[in-house]
Amino acid sequence: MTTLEHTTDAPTHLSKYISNDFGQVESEPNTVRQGTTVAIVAVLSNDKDIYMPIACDRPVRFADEEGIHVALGVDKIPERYRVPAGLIRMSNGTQAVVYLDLCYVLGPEGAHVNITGISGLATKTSYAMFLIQSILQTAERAGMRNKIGVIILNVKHGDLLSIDQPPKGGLEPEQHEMW
Amino acid sequence: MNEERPIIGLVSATSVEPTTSDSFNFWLAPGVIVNPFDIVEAEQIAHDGTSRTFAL
Repeated sequence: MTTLEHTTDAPTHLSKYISNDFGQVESEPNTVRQGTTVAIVAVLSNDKDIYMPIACDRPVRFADEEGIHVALGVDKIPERYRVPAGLIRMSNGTQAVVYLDLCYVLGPEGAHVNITGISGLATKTSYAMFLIQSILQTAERAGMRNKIGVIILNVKHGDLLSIDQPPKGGLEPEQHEMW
Repeated sequence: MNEERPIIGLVSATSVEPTTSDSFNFWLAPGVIVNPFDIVEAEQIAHDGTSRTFAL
C-alpha cells in the first residue's frame, strides 16, 4: 500500500457543505453518500515472474509470512546466510522476520548497509548495534565467526565507549518488561 | 492456503487509471482496515493455473 484514497460521487467539497444543510455538522443527511476506499499499490514481485498488468476484479488478500518472504526475495537467500534484520508487522496482525543476505552485508557481493532516519532519536545507532550482534550470531552459525571483526568509528562522544556497561541507576521496570 | 485468508478487495482498472506492470489499484471491502506499507498479494494469471503478485 503506498496511498489510500476515499472517493465519493460528490463533485466538490462545496456540494458536501451544502448537502449538510449548509454546514450544519450535526445534521442527518437524507441519503447516505456512497463512497469507497481505494488502495494504490506498487508491484514488488510475482512468484512465477509474470509482470502482465493484473486484470480487473482479481481478488486481493493480505500476504502471509511466506508470501512476504517471497515478495522480498528472502526465499532466495540460503538459510545459513540469513541475517535477521527486523520485523514486519501488518494491519491484520501478520508478522514476518526480515532477513538480509550475509553475502551482501559482509561480501563478496556488496558489503554495505544504509541506515537512514531522523536525527537524535538514538534509533539508527541502536539499530546498527543490533545488526552487528545479529551479523555476529549469523556468522557463527555459518562457520564464519573467525573470519570477521568489528571496527566502529565512534562519532557519539563517550556514549558508545560504555555500551557494555549497565546504565547508571539500572533500567526502568518498563524496559525490563520490554527486554 | 488462500482460502484461509479473506479477500480484502478486488483489483480495479478504469479508463483513466489502468493497471500496469508496476502498480494497480483495488477497492476495499467495507470494514477492512489497511495501512501504508502493508504487503498484499493479488491473484494473477500464469502459464499453468494462477500465480501470486505481491505489492506494497
